Amino acid sequence: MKSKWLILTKVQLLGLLGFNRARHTEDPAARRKARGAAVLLAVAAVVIAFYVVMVAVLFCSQGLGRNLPALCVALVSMITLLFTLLRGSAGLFAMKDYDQVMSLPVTKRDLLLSRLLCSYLANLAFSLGVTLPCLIVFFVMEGFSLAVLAVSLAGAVFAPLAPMAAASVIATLLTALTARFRYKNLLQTAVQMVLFIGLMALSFSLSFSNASGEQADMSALFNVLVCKIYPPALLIGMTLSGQIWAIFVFIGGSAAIAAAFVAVLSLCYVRVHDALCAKAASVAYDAKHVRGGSARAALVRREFKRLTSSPVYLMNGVSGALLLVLAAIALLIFDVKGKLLAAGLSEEMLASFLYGGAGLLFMFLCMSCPSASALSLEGSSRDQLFVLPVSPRTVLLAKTVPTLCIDTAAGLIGACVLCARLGADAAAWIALPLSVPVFAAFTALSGIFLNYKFPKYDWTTEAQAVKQSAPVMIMSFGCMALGFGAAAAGFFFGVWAVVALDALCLALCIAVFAYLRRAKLYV
Amino acid sequence: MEKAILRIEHLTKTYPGGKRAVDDLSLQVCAGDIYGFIGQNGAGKTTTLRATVGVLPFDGGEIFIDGMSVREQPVQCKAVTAYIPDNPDLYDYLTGVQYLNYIGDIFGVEKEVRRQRIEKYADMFRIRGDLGSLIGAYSHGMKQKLAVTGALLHAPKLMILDEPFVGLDPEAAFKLKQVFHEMCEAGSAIFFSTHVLDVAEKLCNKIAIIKGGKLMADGDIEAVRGDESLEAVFMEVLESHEK
Repeated sequence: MKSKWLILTKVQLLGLLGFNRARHTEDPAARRKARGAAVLLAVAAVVIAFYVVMVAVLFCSQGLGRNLPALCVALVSMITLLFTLLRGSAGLFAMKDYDQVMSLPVTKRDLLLSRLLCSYLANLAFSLGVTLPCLIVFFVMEGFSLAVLAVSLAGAVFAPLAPMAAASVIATLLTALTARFRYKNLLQTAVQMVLFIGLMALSFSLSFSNASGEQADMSALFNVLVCKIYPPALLIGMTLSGQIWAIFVFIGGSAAIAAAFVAVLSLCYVRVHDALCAKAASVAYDAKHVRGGSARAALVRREFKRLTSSPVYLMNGVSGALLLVLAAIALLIFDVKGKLLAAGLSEEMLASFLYGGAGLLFMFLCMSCPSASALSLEGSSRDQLFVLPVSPRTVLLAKTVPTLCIDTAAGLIGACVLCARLGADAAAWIALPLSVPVFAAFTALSGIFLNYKFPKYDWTTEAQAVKQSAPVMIMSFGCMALGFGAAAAGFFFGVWAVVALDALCLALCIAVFAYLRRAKLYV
Repeated sequence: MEKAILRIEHLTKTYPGGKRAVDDLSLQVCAGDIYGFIGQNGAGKTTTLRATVGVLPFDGGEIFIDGMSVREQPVQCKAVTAYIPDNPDLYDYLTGVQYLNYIGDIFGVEKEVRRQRIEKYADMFRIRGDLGSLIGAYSHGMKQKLAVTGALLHAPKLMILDEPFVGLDPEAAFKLKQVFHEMCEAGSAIFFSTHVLDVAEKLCNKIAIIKGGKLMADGDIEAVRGDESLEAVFMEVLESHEK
């Protein structure tokens, strides 16, 4: 007889990317969408592999190839930690199928194990996606090594375990502690953001503070950097230096932490779930709360309430804009212009950086796009929306407003600070701030267009719609590629590249806006 | 001549993959009608209701609400209709009163009228004490009552309900039936699906029996039923078509 945790895991995985539905459906459109999702995943993998290969080639050419396995483990662990934190406790608790699953004859440990395993497999796929291209580059440039292969694969397989457990504990504690507050979602999101930013800032500040030691041996310095990002990753480097015991410590430690997490949490799983799903006391009707407004305003207001109702939606929806604002603050604090000039860059080069910045601005704004999952999040209640006497275009445009507002505000801050701190000329002062609303409109409209074409209504946790749906992935990876391309074009072609990007975005906005006139919303 | 609020003509709906859920179905619901739509599970009741309210596209036939085509003028049709699905999945992140304000805004219900109706129906269904709470904290029955209150907020000409009495306590079910009668006296029409033949028999003046997507019988309840009980007629209709 199959283990129950295995059965539970299989059922969750079947629903994960919609391939099972595509396999069994008679609807050709659903099959096409699944094929599209598969292509998209492949493109995402290629984009990640491309960046990894570039970095790996750079390191190998500097003679730092043997440090790559440790770097991979450090980066994978840090990214797993940050993304699990971003996901919050939604991966383990407050799932829609909780009552149904808990009524089955399965132990809490089986349930917890299956849910963790699903997250682990997604993280493992990412870990292998980073490690394998690195290994290939290493073997091509420095020759095959069985030791590097074995250690790297062991590192890739076990790296996500401890960060997942640590982030889940933090997220669960945070959710449980704030469960009884009236504005618990906002509070959870705020604390999660502080943690997220704090971890990133800590990691970067430690990395950069050590990078200034010019006299140090590069390899030793590199180990220090890896250690600062994620200390256990150093065990990988130690193994490759001949201390074989280190890999067993890494494997054993990671597995023990994950096992301890499952064992402890399974003891208090139901209590934690109950605490997370705590309901506030009844609040009575008050006539002063009855007020009137327009249909459009009502739809927009609901979109903002939806955004702030879910920490995972809010965190993913504003993270790009938030990072942009943080980058702007960092620019205000540090004299980047002075440092660049001191490093020998000319004023002309600085101007090129400025126009290249427009591409990065674009990338930050597109990185997180609430409108790409706004329709999917209607889920099983979508017929409540579709029966309303408003046109589909009105409904869809209302869903773009939060993205438009957040991105415009953050983009203007970023553009103005960039112009002010890098000493922009008049053309840049006009081009960059004017580009922001165009980028924001493009992001918002592209997101809703993709979500309209590829909605994911059959989610059991909001994270599936917000993080794992096709529109979100297309926006993230597509805009990352486009942003880097635009940054490079801006660097080489200056203001004309920005104007061309604006024109392209504007043309696409007009096309989507016109297309939405023909949109129809059906269940 | 009775004024038709809902006219379904030769409605046909085939799902992707070839399953024909509704096959050449025609019926008419007039002002003042309480029209029961009965059939087995999977007979095509919900598909018909969803096509009628414009959330499901259909392949053939036409649906008119208050003389307007659902296909050609969907927004205008929706403006005079209220729909309550079998399991109203309302927005957990809104409070009850926020939800009602949202519905009121969408349907353009004037503030004072809105307040009066909210208070009237919230008292009737005994949810006034919870309207300030988040819907996520409501029980299934309370959500159903809130959905009904929202549906009544704009005084629809046509009210379409899918299994409306499931989850309602006896008092709320009784009040809802009263509301149905009041609405019909005011010239509106009710079209609802149900499995409970007893309810259909006592409440409706017209019924339709659907099986395998086809209309088996319809019309005034007395004419359909004759001297028998509705249950006996229902079983007869199903069995006669199986032979």
